[in-house]
Amino acid sequence: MTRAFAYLILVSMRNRFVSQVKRIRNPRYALALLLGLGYFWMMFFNRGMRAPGGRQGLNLFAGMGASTVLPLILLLLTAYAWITGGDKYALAFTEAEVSVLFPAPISRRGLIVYKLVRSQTAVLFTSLVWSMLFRSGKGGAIGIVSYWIMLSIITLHRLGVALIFASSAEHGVRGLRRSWPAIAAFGVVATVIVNGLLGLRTSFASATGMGEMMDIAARGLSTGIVGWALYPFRVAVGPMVATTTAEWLAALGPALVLVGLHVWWVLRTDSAFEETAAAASAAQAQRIRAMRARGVSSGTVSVKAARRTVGLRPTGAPAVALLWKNVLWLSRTGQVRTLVGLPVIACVAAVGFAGGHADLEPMVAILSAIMAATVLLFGPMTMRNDLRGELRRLPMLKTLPLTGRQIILAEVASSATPTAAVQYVLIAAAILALSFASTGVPALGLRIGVLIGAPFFLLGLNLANFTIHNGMALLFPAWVRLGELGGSGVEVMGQMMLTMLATLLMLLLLLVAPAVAAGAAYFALQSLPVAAIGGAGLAGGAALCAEAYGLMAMLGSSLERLEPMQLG
Amino acid sequence: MITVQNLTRQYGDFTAVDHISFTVNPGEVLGLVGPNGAGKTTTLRCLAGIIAPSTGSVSIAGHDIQTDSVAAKQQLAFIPDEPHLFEHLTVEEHLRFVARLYGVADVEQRIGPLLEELEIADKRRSLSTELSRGMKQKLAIACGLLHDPSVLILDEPLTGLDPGGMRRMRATIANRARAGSSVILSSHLLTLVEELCTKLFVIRKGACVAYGSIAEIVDAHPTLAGQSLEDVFLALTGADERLSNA
Repeated sequence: MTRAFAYLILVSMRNRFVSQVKRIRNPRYALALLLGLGYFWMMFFNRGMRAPGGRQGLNLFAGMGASTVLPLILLLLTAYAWITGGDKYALAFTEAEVSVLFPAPISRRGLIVYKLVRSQTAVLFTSLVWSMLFRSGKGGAIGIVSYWIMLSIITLHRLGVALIFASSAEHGVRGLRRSWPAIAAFGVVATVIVNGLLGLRTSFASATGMGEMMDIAARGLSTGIVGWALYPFRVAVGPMVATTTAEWLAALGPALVLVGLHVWWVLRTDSAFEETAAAASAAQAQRIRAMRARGVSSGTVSVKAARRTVGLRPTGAPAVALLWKNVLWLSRTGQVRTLVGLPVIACVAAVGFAGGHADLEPMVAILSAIMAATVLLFGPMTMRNDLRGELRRLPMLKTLPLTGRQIILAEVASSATPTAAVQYVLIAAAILALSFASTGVPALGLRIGVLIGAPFFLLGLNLANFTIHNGMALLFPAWVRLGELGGSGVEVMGQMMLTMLATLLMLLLLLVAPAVAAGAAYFALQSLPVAAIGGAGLAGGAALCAEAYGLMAMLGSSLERLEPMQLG
Repeated sequence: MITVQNLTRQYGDFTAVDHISFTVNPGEVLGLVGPNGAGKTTTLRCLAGIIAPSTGSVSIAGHDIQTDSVAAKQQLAFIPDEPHLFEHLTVEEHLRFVARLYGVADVEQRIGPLLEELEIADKRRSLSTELSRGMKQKLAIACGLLHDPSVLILDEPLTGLDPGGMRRMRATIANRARAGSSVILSSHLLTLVEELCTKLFVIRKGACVAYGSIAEIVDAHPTLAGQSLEDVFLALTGADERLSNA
């Protein structure tokens, strides 16, 4: 049976690799690959391009207080898994696997082993990407192994937690009893560490800077019972934070033992596996179908939500139908709650602190601005109610009585407009918070100018950003995730980071002309701050909209030429 | 009216459809038949504007599907064998969506009778995810028929339908043709083809092996006289030789 699994995994990998290589024969893919490799070479491998005096650790995480911070981040990730029930999709098999492997004479342990081995391909790819992105010294294979250890531990831990929760759901208290050592161990460890952190509060309060705070945390968390409780987390990140090869070799052994312990734990917690895996596979299949319909990461539609609808006139611009459909999608999934939640919290905080905590308002403003920037970066990863999900239905899309440009415009507007609205409310919340601040309140003209100019600029910025994301999917459908492909954890972060890096670079390029336009408007109107800032926003936004529209027109032609077979 | 002239479609060195030509006049139903891999789906996809022909042309109601695609698609309904529906829309919302795309001003008057005709009126407010396979197929058909297309392209339209649904679907296709639509029907159900189609287009390895009414085809191949449509099909596509060799 092991040979059959190995055959399936290796042959699938080989075929996938061959099909990717064949795609490079297409000049568009070949050019993109050359550009990508050239960029990576310049940024990460060409010593002449690096700034002199750069750190020469094993990787980016070496030093910098990482040995203190990373174990805590790992603790948070594992705690999150325990609170949310782990990653049930980690148990999901494809529909083909369920129909072929489940009825086959294979033990449940065999299935888990297969699942673990298969997930390793994604973990290894992400390790490779991380080792390139976060490399600052000799790294290389050492970096890959270090990231592989940490990512494997996280993946295995989430799977183990998912199995415990599944066992509990299946067998009640009896299921939990079976897993009590793991539950108790994690509970004790988490309690001790949180208690230790709380004990450091007074020391933190007297610290004069971030460096001193890190020193206090490092001392407090590495000694006594807290030090022991945090030991497994330190072991997991040990190879990553090692600063010398000798340190790395010393950290490698314990880390590998921890990986082995996790494998043993997961294999031992295999009860109720088939039922859970089947349920997870079914849930995933439904999620994939939803993704293919609309391109969402957690967008299963509730029947209850479908009772509310939005009217649509039967006549008028036909492309509005696509926009209407996408609005209904947004209103019927949990995504919209997440999206609206951020600005609501920011506004409530801005108003809430206005009374007795005006000194906290600058913090609210900063956090709101950070959230707006985060939405710009990560919004396109979650707001996928546009062409990226729709491409899976390309045959249907191509029979609609619409031009390619109309389709692109409607699809991009579906995700860009609500994202821009959320960002605008966040910016407004920041302005509101600053208005209530006890000191350092910006001039009224400046605040009004931002409120006037921001909507134009944000709309243009998001149209450009989402056009790039959709364009990537349209031009390189074989390289971009078109809907959910079975993973949502750290193991698929490699591809996501590559996509984000490429789109960010293109967005920066697109920002050059609008920045010039905004600057020109500002200097032309600088005698009146309101008009200068508002005008700069308007000019920058208009330039971004013009660029985005030009791109959409080009992408429209590409859409009309795209054929289902090219989707891969 | 559908006019296909010298339609060819190649995938690299492989020719999936090889210089085929035919015409479907208003009121006619053309049966597109052939063995698996003969080029039926590629032909239908070219007709619907999903893929572009390598050479040749396709005209839908007088509009070229490549150069005047929006006008051509306004007159067209393509119903694939696998319904592509939106999980987040209800049955009624699917129809409203289609109505806006095609500018169906009297959608309110059409939705009820159409859903009644296809027997999914009680599912009007259900999400498509709540529908069975057959009901999904009926909804896809309803979406295709809502704007009264003058050209109807159907790929295995009876897939997933129960016997009652099949009978009603046959009647619906016949009614649409009688009302003046040009219909192309691709199916392996030869009884359906025999019952509904006024003309046959038999395709094998991308090329036309027979075109015309069943009587015309039999006249052109006297050895097939008196045989069932199944035997005629097997003989034309060479499947009977393969069967006898096996």
